[in-house]
Amino acid sequence: MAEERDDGISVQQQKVSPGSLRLRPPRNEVHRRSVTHWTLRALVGSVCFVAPTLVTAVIIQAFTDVSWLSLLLWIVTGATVAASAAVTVIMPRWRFRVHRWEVTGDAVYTLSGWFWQEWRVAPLSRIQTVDTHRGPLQRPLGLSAVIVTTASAAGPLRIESLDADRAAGVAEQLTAATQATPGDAT
Amino acid sequence: MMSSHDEGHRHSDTDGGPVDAMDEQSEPWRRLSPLTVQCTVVALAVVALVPAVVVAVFIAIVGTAWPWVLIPLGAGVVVFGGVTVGEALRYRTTRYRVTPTHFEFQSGVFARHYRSLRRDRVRNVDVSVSIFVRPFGLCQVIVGSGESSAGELKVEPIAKAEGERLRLELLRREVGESTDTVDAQAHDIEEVDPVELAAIRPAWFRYGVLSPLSATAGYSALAATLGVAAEFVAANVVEAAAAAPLRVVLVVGVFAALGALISGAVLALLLHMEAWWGYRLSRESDGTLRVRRGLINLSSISIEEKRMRGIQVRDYLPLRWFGAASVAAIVSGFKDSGANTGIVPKRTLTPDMPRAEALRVAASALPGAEPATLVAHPRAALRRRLVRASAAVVVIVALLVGAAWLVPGFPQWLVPLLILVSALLAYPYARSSYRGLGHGLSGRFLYLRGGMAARSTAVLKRDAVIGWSISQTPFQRWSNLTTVGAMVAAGNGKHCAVDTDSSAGLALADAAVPGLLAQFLEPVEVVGGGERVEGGAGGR
Repeated sequence: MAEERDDGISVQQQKVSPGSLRLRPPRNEVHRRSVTHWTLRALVGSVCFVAPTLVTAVIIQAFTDVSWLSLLLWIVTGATVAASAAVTVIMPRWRFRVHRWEVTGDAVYTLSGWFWQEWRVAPLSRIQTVDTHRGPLQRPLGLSAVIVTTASAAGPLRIESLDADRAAGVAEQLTAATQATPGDAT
Repeated sequence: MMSSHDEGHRHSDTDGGPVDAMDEQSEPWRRLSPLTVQCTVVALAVVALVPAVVVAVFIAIVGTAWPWVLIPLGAGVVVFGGVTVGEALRYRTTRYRVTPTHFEFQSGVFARHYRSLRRDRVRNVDVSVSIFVRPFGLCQVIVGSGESSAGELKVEPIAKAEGERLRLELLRREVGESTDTVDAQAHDIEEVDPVELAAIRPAWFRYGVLSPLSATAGYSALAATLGVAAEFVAANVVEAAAAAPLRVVLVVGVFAALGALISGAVLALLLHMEAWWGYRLSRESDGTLRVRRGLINLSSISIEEKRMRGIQVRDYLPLRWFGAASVAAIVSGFKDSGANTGIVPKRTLTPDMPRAEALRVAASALPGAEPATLVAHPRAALRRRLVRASAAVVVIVALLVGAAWLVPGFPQWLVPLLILVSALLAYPYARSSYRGLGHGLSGRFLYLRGGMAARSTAVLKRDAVIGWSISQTPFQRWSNLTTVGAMVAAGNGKHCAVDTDSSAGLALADAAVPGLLAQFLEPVEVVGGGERVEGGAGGR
């Protein structure tokens, strides 16, 4: 049943019954040490987040007499400390339960995120580059991320993070598979 | 390689650009038009010298000490001299040529640059004629590989005929053809005439008053002018207003506001007319769509049809209320910044025109794309938007109450009024934003629609989808909604169907690109009594 809308587009109800399809998660987990990596990253982020409010609160407390302002600032500092601590504790484990990856014969499939989740699928024929990336926190942990780019400007597919040797192996396998697929991948 | 012999025999090529002595082995290098310096002189006279003289005269009249008059004059002369010398040097040091495989460009006065672009990487060749070069019959050609605006090669100014020849030659795909100018001209004769898809109708100029880009440009120019004038006018006006009776002040105020509104509208209209005068959209014989428009600054944009991933029909407010829409192309390798197109982004195919006409042009620009019946998104999406609207109203209420409580002189009657206004705006906005959602699949195309003020329908070629990005927030998970994003190699890379039912969205993605998502999809069986059993691999 089509209905007209205000700008002339006709619209109908969906034919697929709700709740009848879902995406199964990819098969492989990322490495266990990623939890440590994410915790470290969250700690660094928390410090950057809390430090300004803390410093401001201390300065206002020490050098001025405006009691309601310094009280407000201490409350804000407390709130940011609590929020950062909660994220630092909860986020890495949640992320580890969510992050998955899989490479099949014709596609790369990843699931990432924690609060917001994103499934990304790219066919091997559309992959342009395959890189491994080791950030300063990943290197001491022996971890490495695999980054798969396509011609889309909306960002690459990321597998974060695998053991460094495993990541190199996956990158090699993907590179060989994409080289075997013809085309310029746009 | 470079083979110019400066003391060699120089002659004017029939196309208007001087050619250095031919080396048997390689193509001749061409130079810019010899009128470059004259053209610069005229442009500078208008842009630099006249204002300098005007400012100097103004200073002289106002009556300050005469040495101050020398400053703007001196500045004008310095700018004039410096830029003219710079342009003369640029003319001497810039060369270009088209070989069977490359487009080569040499430039640079102090540091020499040699750039070459493979001809099969040329994505766009745009010809524009700015007001300063028009009297001389010259033009500017921008050759791009689509990577970035820094990667574009600008050849300016060259003769119009030469610009057209360059454009045709670079867009021609048959590498290995003779690139000699005489042969190229002979080839033009056998090409098919371009097919015109759309042309401007004067009645459409009226949309320029409300068209977002021209209206913004017009009103901000007006605001800037008024801002400058306000400095001089404010003091006198305030005195007069204090002395005059309230009625007079109100009437004058209303007239002044109306006057400002009308001036802004007229300015917007003029800008729109200048941008779209003489607009023509045509399909050329070399497989490109060509957009020609302009009154003072002429521009011609060529879009390769092979690179077109789809089109976008834009129903932007407030023109949507008047039944107008416009069409833009979704093209890979097109950066909107770069060439001087003024207020119109490069990938725009049509001006604002009546909606039926816009759909007709869209269908002819992208053969096979007909307006399709779209699938509505579930009511849960409407609920989400209404909840967000309510949250916004609550925040506004809290702010207003807080302000009324803390700020001493706050007018109390303003609080309920503003709350009412924000509610009256928020809820219809939420409803309209829901009505803008939709998706569909028809023939070779995928339709994705969304937005409220910037509502647009993206019609993507199904084989241009190079991946999927399916995302879900916890609130969406709660209402069984997801946002399905189709990745394309164009623009910002992704076009989304926001807040679609999870199963409908996955079914859409699966049907649009068969075989890609199917291996990851699982049916969810509903067993009697409403309990769900997951099929397939049995969960994790």
